[in-house]
Amino acid sequence: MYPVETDMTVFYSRRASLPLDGTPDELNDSVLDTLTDACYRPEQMTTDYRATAITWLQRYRDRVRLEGISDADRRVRMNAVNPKYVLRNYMAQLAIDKADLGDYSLISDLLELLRYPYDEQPDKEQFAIKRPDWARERSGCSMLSCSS
Amino acid sequence: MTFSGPECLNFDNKFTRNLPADPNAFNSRRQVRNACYSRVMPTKVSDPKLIAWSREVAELLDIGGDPFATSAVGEVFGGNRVLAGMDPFAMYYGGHQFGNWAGQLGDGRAINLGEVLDRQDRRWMLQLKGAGPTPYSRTADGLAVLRSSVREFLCSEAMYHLGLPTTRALSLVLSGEKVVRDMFYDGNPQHELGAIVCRVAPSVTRFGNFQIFAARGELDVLRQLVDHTIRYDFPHLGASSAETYAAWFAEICRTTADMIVHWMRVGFVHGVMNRA
Repeated sequence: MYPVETDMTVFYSRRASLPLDGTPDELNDSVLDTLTDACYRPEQMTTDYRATAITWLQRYRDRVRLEGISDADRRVRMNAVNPKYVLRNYMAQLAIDKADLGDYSLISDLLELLRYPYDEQPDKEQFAIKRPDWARERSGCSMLSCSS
Repeated sequence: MTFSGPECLNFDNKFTRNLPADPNAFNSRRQVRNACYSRVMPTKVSDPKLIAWSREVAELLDIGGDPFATSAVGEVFGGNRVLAGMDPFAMYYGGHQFGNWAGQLGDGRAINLGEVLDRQDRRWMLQLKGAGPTPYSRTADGLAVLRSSVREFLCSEAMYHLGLPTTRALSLVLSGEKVVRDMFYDGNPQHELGAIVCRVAPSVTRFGNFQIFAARGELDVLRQLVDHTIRYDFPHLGASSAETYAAWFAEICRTTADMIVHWMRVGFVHGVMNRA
């Protein structure tokens, strides 16, 4: 059902900035370039998957066109409801690891970041991207018990 | 700006004043009947130290100034100092766990300090998470560790700033205690740092507060709790009646669905949904 491991937050963020104004009726493969950033394993994007994704994006583009929504307008509206910054497990874990050593600064820094989840924060782009590979299998990052 | 600390909080404890208490005043694990709560004091800790603070939640409570400049904040929100006007208690509730009715649960590691009335007459329950055992702790120690407390502190405030209905977090206090935890229940217990979060919300009443009375046939107390909840948390519904109860239930269904839609919108994944 989910053939390509995709980062939800990054996916919505990239889709908001997908250029659709004035695109040809038949979208070509390059439309997927913007979205590749959201995929953890780009090699999972097979030819079949790409064809399905392009068909879906064409329908999406047609719908946006029908509603008369420009790229600029769509971007503003999507970014108002799809956060750019969320508290990812690995981010909390970084703050916990520091706090265990007596340095509580990252707790406050993350709280400051998360005060403005929908805004551009150019100096904090490192928290607006996919989970880093080291966090894939790490306790507290990829698995949590129900009350921890 | 001078620091107007927690000593200035204005408590008005309608929950404990209006609803039936467990008559047993001892802090021993037990089954409770026909009561909404048990009075219980937070356990004193050796070295409470404030390590994080939400200024927005402090503003809601009219607490101003630099909380790190005084030890009073750690003492109060670490559970060592119970202020005049507080009436600490743990709630009686039941619920489902892992798909099965589990009977009595209750606040096993949460202790409500009391309800604050702010300058605009809004009501805020202050609740310490990890403040020691209560009559509802079953086999556990009532404590919380730093890692889970950092997550709760940050996630509560992150959810608020995302625009979601959520409890808030005022403070994160290290207790100075060591807590033994087996993180993955696999036979590898470790010493971890103990910590306490102060949760803040208009109400901390859950679905389970009502469920336990229905399950045990304690219908008189059930009606008292429902009427209290409608009166203070849903005053727009008017005086209690069969119609009001139906409207109240419908509103809870709608607002709960709305909250979970928000969870899905922001990609929040959580397997436990038992809070009203």
